[in-house]
Amino acid sequence: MILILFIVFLLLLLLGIPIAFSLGLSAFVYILFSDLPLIVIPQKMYAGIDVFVLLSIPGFILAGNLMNASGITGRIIAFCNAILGHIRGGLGLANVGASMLFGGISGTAIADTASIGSVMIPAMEKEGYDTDFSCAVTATSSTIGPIIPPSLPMIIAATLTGLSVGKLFIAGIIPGLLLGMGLMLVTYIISVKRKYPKNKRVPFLTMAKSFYQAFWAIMMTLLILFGIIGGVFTPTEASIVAVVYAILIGLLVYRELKVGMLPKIILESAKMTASLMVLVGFANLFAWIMTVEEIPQLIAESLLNLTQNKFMILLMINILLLFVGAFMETIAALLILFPVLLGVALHVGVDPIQFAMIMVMNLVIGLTTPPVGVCLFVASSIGKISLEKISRAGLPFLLVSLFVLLLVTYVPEISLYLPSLFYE
Amino acid sequence: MKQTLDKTLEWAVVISFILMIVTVMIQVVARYALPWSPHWTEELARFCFIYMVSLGAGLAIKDRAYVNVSSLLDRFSPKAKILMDNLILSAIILLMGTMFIYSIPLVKIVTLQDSASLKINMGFIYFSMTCMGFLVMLYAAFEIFLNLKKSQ
Repeated sequence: MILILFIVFLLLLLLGIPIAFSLGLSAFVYILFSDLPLIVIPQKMYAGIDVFVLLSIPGFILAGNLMNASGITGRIIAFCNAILGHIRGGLGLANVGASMLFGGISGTAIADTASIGSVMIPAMEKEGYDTDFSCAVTATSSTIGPIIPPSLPMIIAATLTGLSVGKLFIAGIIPGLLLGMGLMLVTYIISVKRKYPKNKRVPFLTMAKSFYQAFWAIMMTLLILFGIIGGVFTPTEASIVAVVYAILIGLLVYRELKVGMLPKIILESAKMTASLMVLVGFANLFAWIMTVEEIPQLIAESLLNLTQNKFMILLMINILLLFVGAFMETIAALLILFPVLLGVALHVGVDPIQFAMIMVMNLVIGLTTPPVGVCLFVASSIGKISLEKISRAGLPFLLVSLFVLLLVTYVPEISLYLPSLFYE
Repeated sequence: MKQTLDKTLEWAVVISFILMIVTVMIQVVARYALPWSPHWTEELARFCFIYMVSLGAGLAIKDRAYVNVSSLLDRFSPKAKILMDNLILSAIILLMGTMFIYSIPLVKIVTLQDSASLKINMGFIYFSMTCMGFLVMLYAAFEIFLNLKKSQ
């Protein structure tokens, strides 16, 4: 019976039906075959989106879009270039650095690939970097975005399980930095090997100036982080404060944002939110059916029957998630699998915060692996180069990401040290 | 006709969003600057959010904002692609049509309750699900219509 749910879902997904509606339709078919009432469709949709924490999603999306419209991307890149440009492969390093800073604003990897890629890929090409390399750096480094706070996947993980968004945000800082440094290392080694250019060291004054230009963007990340950590506001409030902050900075400091541009930016952010929330709503319906059928227990039991060893369980979960992440969109995968797998992880004594980190990292790595790596798609359309070439060029970066994932999986302190510092 | 609908919905979505921002800002400012904080802000913000999503869900169809796996679709010929697209849109209409129809009894059930702090009849809030079902269905139908026109 429950097989219908999964088979129909996978079938619809492969046929190209949007993930949100694939979830809804497979649940619909299941309901028709069982004796559940159809009224649960609107009911679970409503219940899925009537959650206060979810309001932070449009907030962070809008804040990111506003900052982008204020010309923040160029400023962040200029700043990173001023600091890192004089090292060999400087522009590549600046690309990674910009992704880290930008990740503190936007919260989604695709936005990072698109906005940084459209500036960086042509610029790197001009300086003589191979296009496949530039695209690979851009795509992989943008996966740092959802790990460094604020992060939409972390908000979703928190909503699903009642974990604190603040704790999850802070837990992402060290893994995000590790990933960033790892990717920079690979960039540097490859650049030395291929003799990619370095720029002249910029005078201190220029560096200071570029820092001042990027300062307001960095401040936004700090405002969000310390606001939440300090208990000044909730994550939802933080996202809205970030929106107001972004409007003020865009209008008054950078002066590239115009009042007339606001409705369009708001509308775009709202439509993106709407498509995400339909997904959240139908995933809630899908998850409800799984709970009725006691699927989470079933999966947990069968995994735990195989082994009770923490090391092995985590390894199995990682392999499963990497596979799922390669095929499915992060938030959809999170919605369906996080509650299911969390039970298993808790059983073998993994901290829920650390587990959320493992899960999000796994799924964002999938954003840069074929066949459904969205960041690869975006990078390939900017660089006008085939997916295969970028994937091949991205292999060393993928290995580093996997290494950091292993560290996060087996060294709990990486995720848990900072939250324990702030919250105990 | 359709353009008027587009424009109306777009403004409704933008206004819900702005109202949501303003409400949450009131909540933050009131907590630190005023001696009392209003208890209705969280609820109002949530309701604005739900309507923003419900009214925007149809527009998102028009923008093709829903993420899908397109690797198989990309291998089809242009003609087959349009046919597939129509099938997909029809499936969406089926699902959202069901949601539309079954949201009506749901709205009737919840009209018996008022919201906790604003005392709004919950029927008005759940009516967003009726709107969502209807609008997504409508916009999916528009898309099919456009596809048919294109292929002629």
